[in-house]
Amino acid sequence: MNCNEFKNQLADLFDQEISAKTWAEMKEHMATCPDCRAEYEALKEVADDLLPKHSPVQEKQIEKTPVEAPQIDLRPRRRWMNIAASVALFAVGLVLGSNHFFSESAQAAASPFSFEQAIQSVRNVGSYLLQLQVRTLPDENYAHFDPHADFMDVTMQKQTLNDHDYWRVEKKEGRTIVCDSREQYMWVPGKMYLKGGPQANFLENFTLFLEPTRLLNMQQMALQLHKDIQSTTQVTDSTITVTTSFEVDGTELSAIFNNTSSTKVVTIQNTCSMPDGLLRSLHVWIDWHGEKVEIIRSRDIQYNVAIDRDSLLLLPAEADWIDLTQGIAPLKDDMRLALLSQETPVNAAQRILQALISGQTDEATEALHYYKDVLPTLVKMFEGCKVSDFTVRREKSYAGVFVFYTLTHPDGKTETCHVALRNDNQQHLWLLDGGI
Amino acid sequence: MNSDLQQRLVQLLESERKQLLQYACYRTGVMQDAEDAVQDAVTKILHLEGPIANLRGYFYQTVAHACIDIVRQRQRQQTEGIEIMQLWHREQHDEFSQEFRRINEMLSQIPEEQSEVIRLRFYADKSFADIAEMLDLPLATVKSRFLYGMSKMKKSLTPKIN
Repeated sequence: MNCNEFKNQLADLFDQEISAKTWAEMKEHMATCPDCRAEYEALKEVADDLLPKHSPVQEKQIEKTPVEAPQIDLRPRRRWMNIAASVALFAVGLVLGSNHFFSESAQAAASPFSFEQAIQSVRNVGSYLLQLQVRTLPDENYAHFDPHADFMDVTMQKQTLNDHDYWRVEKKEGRTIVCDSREQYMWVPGKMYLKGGPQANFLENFTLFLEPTRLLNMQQMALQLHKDIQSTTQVTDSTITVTTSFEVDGTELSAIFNNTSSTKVVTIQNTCSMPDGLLRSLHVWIDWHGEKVEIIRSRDIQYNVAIDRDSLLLLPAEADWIDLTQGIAPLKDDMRLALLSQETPVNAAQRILQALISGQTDEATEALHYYKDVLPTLVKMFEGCKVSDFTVRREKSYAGVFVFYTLTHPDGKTETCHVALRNDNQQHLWLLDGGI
Repeated sequence: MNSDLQQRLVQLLESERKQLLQYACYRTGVMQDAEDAVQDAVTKILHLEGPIANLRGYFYQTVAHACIDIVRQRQRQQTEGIEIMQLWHREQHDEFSQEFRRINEMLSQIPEEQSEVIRLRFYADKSFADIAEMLDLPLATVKSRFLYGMSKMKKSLTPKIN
């Protein structure tokens, strides 16, 4: 890299999306060029001056409203009073997490339970242990539920330290995912060992259960947006149990239950202890061909428990990890490159799935790079199937896209499935990244 | 009211809550005004008719305008000597408020189009690619506005550093 190239890319050093390669090249140049290094350091000094060191957002979250409430009334708060009855007020209030919005709502004041309180209670916990029983299969990904399967144990542990999250999600003798705050590792013992970066999202939307605030938030949002939602509350001396039943479409749960295609309605029962408001028990039922089937239930939820970091981050010995952050070797066939780099995610998903169905995996060698060790299994799995009705969904938490499709089995049964594809590689080729 | 827009807006608010409030805070200097600005923006958008293609960009822009209105109104009330603003003055001595004033002073030295890119980068935690999409600008323009702005602030800082 020369000085001109460095200057052209100088802004990238202040971006959140700089490739490791560019960063290494720029660092190497700065090591030999004092002028460029001085230019970067001067700008970095400005950036350091501009970067926020005191977060009003976090300070606000831990403030106690009762003390603050009279002050708020004194302030010239004028505009949103005009729209107090509108959905907009609720929509913003719940998202901002501002308790005073709810204190002005007769509906919320009359309720003995507030999702807001439950969310606040779990927001600042340092560690979290959730033992679940889930109807799923040991080796399947975490977004897969099977209403016909027996319950199996899933243990989720999370530790937060200095804004870094360390967690482990483990199916008993099955698929396990570990995050050491930077890298994520996912393995199925003896079958698959994958290593990914911070955006790997191996847990997919099952991450909702790793973050109880999101789970509660999602229900709160559903409650506010759908007037016809069913919600019941039961109160004992020490607990409050709230059961909500709602349509999954439009909520984060819709991605979780994508493989159970007939699922339209989900029922979640949350039990919180009083007076701390902490979520202590969780049950999830889905509507399965007209029948209500329990698919997730908690056995134990504990907060601020002592978790041994070494055990939390323990990885299997002698595993041969496929490093997803390394990418694939550049494609040298220009014609094929031109063809593949113009593909839409739907085109790519169709090509990959057709290659698996026909057994001609050469048609998708590049896209199946991370699955090369399990291709015979995949080909067998898709033998005689048909795929149709492709739609794309993007989510902020994932660097790639999800392509949903209808899979028709040889016996005529259909189900909605998805593949995760990403093209954040040098040649922008769509690679299969999960879901299969 | 457009229910699709409402749903998209709630999703946007949910995923960007912290960034939005921080962005608005570094425009108004007061947390509660930041909340007001975000609410104002939501109300305005929900009453719009017709589709909004770039909702995120439009939303941040509307929040920015709401912040400017709030700050102007506050300044007007201050000059009118409204007693209620004593409360606001009381808030001005915490660490965030001092930091806000210092940062605002730095950003006021450069054109708004450059400071907006810097605000979105540092306070809304957006990548340059995100900012380009939000402001509907070429990526190269976003990066050059960022660098020009930063360089100008660097020059104005230099005498003080020396």
